[in-house]
Amino acid sequence: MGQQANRSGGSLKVLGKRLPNLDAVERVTGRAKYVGDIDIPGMLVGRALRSAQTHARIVSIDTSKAEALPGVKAVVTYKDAPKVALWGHRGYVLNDRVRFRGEAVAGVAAVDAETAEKALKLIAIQYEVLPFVIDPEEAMKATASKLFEDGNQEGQARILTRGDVAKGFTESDKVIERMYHCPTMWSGSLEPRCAIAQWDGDRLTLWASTQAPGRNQDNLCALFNLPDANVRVIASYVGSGFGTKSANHMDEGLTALLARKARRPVKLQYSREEEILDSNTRFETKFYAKVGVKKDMSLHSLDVRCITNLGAYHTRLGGLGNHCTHVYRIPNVRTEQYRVHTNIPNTGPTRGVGDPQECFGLESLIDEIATEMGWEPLEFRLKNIKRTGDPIARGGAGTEDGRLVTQVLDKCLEEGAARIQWSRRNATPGAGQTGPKMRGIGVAATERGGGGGQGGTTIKVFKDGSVVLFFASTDIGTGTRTTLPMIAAETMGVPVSSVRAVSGDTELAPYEGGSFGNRTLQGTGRAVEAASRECLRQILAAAGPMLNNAAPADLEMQDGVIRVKGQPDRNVALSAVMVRRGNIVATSITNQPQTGMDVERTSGAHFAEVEVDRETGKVQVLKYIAAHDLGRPMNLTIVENQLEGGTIQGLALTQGEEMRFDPRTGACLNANFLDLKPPTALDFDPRMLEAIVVENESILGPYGAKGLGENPTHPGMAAIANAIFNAAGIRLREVPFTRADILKALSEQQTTPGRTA
Amino acid sequence: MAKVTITVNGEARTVSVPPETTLLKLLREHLNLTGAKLGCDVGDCGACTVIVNGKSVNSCLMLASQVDGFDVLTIEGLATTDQLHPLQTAFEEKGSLQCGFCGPGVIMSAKALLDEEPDPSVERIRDALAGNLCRCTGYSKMIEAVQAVANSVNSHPSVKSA
Amino acid sequence: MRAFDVVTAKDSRHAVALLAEHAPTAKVIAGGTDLLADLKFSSHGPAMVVDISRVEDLKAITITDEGLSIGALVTHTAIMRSPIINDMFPALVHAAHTIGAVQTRNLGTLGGNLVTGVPSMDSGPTLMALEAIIVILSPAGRRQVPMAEFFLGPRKTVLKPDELLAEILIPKQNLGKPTHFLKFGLRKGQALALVSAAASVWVDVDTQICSAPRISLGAVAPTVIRAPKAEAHLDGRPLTADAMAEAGRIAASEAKPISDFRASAGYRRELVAVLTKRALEGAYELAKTKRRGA
Repeated sequence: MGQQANRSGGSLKVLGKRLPNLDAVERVTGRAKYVGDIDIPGMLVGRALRSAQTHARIVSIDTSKAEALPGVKAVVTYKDAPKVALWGHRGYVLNDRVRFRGEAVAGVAAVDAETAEKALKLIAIQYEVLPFVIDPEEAMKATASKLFEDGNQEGQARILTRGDVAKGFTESDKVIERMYHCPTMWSGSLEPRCAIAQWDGDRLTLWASTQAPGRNQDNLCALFNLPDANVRVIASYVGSGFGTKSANHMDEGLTALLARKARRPVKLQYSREEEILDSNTRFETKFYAKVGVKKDMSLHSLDVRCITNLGAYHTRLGGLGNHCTHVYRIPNVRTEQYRVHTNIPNTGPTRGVGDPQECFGLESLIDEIATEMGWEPLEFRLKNIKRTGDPIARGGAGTEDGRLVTQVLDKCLEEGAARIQWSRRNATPGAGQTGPKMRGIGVAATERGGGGGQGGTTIKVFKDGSVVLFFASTDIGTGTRTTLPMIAAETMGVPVSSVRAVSGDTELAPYEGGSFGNRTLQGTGRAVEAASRECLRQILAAAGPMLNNAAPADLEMQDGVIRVKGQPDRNVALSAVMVRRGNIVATSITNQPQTGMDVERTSGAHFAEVEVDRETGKVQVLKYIAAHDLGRPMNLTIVENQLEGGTIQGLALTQGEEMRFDPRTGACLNANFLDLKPPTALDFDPRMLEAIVVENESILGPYGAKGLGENPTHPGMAAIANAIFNAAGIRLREVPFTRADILKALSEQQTTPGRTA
Repeated sequence: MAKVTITVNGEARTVSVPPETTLLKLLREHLNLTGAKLGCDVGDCGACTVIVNGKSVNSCLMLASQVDGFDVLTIEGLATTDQLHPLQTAFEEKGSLQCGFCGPGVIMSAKALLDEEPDPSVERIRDALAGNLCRCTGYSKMIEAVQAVANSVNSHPSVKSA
Repeated sequence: MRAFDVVTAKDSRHAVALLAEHAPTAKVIAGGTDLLADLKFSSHGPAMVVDISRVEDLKAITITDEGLSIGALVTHTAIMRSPIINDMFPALVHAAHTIGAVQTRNLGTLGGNLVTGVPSMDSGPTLMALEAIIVILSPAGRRQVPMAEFFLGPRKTVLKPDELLAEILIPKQNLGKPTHFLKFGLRKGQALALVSAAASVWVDVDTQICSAPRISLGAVAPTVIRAPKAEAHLDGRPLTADAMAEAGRIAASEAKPISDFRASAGYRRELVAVLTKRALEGAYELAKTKRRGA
């Protein structure tokens, strides 16, 4: 790892160090209670009935037999579901229509799982079967079966534009057109979704495995027409999320509906198959791209038409286009994104809102045009990337009305290249590789926003001097229950061991939507820094009278001891102050700082060295470098975890995790781990992976930090595709890179004499 | 109902359960030992890993009656109130877990490995953890933690894992 | 999971008696790695499950007059750790190692793997290349079925409802026969075989002439199969690189793979050629230094 930057104007005592997670003991002892581990007296077991139809209208639904089964306490159908759409969603908790195979059509709460499962089989449904469509381009046709009255396209095409791409292409010396395809990919968690709902009159408490307690609270308030004071969402230990839990989902509403009808608490936990079929998984993209360059090695025009397959209900995914407009200086850019509903399960953001998919398309395209022109792809990138001081669009739109600051993508590329020894790559892709194994090196760059937005926290200082942070965002494995207390410890001058966090509870802390989009470290972190300062102010004010009425401005706190600056002997312990003062509580709600013209992003570059087996198509990653900007690192252990885990998750997409749908039935063919093939400890040798923290400091984040949860997952597909091209001279434009496809491409290459490598 | 007597974490327990009850269900729902997790229920993810008579197993793939009379060790049995098991300490210090849902299973797999093989190579550790899926990490800090315990056991032969 | 009753067998004789009593609605559970995973999703489970996991007399690995006997309840872990098997058949150790992961190998048994009858079973090709014999117990007594006749189709074997797979016998003439197994999956851990291949061969150290070549393939036909034409091509000839590559191509023509969402038939066929060749190379490598009967 790179050396941590020194904070200008003072040395940091806590931040930047390696520190075990403050809640690690709970996790390593099995004492951490995930939602599925929580038991409430009188709690019923909830189950969802899932439809075997791919697209159908419910003609009738008869629940009487199920309701009559002894032990069944509630059955709900679309008739019970409020006509309020879920967050970022077209559907209700339950719908009178099935739009993907596996959609829940009814819920049951019973005294035990066996009874609930028996009851599901007693629900009789008559369907009017409708034609279905699973391909997004098919779904865009006028003749396609319609999922919604207003058609399958969600809203207008999202168009970002600057310059004139048509003119740009005529001015270009070379123009190529390509299509890159990422299928629907499973991006779920090891913990299956789980929710517990408990009603106390018109007050609802929901324990949920969610990244977004705030968004859940919003939606439950809307569903049940309740004020926010009446809905409490708790997400303490969450078994990861990656974006799939970044809003409420139907299971949470369904659990609440069942509990209300049964008048008892209900727990509803997904099976693995349900988790795969009914989470919000990584969406399919068809990325049609046209790029033009000039002989002087400059990118001149880029036109992208991207079709995203939303699946049945989801409506979000507005972010596509950022890479195309933000990574490179291109005078003429146009991106056009179509969001299309089809009869496959819901999709959603996953470690980026389409960023890995867009990164795959753009970074493959950049490599392809460089190859066409005979340019060295790293040199080509370094010539064209945006650097600090370059113009950039402030609002994400095309017009470049802002100025890029703290951008270090150049350093990410240079440091990564040095580490992988870029000069070892094949000067001519695939050339001179005559043995059974072919080796090559590739690169891909990425960027995204560094997080932030509104944040809130409440901090309480106890009489013994210990400190508790309350915040409504979550620690989904991202380490915020450690990094945010570290910020408080640093700011206040107390030992980090005296600080702990209570996270994910909407009742105890100011409103926050949740943890997603790289946001928590910056967004909540700023509020933690501000509230910590306020606590410190009150502490010093209370300490003055105990130190011969020293003025607060003359006092400082270090390691939980308040002392007069320059006179360390005049001191008093924080606990002594607090015993006299009583609790101190401070709340802070902060907004995104105003930065005028300045736009801050966070970037990274990945380098892959691969070996391709000529006889089987098998690809092995020999060396992988992930160089990232994350501002100032707050906790190097957590940083490495995010970089390594995120990178492996990106690499996993090259070899598996594609959800396959039967074109004849619309059924998912591989809703199990055996066939989705998430990587095991044997798949990627961790010793081949090296993470580099590129020295930098944010202007936006607390203590110079930027968020980094998402970026490490972006470049993997493109870096591997580019490395395979360098190794074998074959260009892969379809994810995942199956061994069969590689073997096929190799044999086509052999039978096509004179094909340029 | 099947009457099952097992020694769980050193304590003899007798429970009557329906015959089709799995060991995982017995632990989680009848003995309130929720450290072992239900991740897939078909033996693909390892979140339910416990040690039965010294061997790591998927507790979702055993009937409770099949462990009648056996010795079962779960994650709850590793630490005493004031002393973590060396593996738990290493997993804490190395930052081996992120969301931690896979953690109890991973640690039990590592424990079973070290009990039989005190000084495993990285390859052996990777093989021993291959039955435990983790979605957050790249497994590297888990492997480091297992190595750290192996090294400390070897440099202090008197230290025996619990 | 649907409710069922469980009876526990004390020994193999008791197991056969229980099966006779409860067949045809009974299922046998040993390691449980396949049965329980299936039952959880089955809408019509058995009324009775006969638990044979405590049948100690089916857990031995011994050399007998007939050959190497492996009890049906020997776990994959036990195979990996058996000094006899490590010494005689490293390919069986390797095949066992490719099954699932430690936890499932600790539970799963050799007999359990075979009775699934799935064409992708990892234990199948090596045993078939060693011409293993399946020993079956029933109230009628003991019968032996050659491995090549044991499987009838996908998930179908010759076992009748009241019969128990008791042991797997590698015949005496094949003890120590150089054998190599290869499995090709789509990830390294917990992989499902897309194609697997095993080859066994005797080679005359002086002439390099090979005899009794046996090639077996997994996941490319309704059952694990032999590739007799490829074997015939090699029998009595020196194992040259060309001969092994040609045997691979012949084996590919003998395979009857299907196309499914995991892979196309064409790709599976290409893999058969490569894996057969590589399995032969591996067996040959062992054979070069090993004299028959030594």
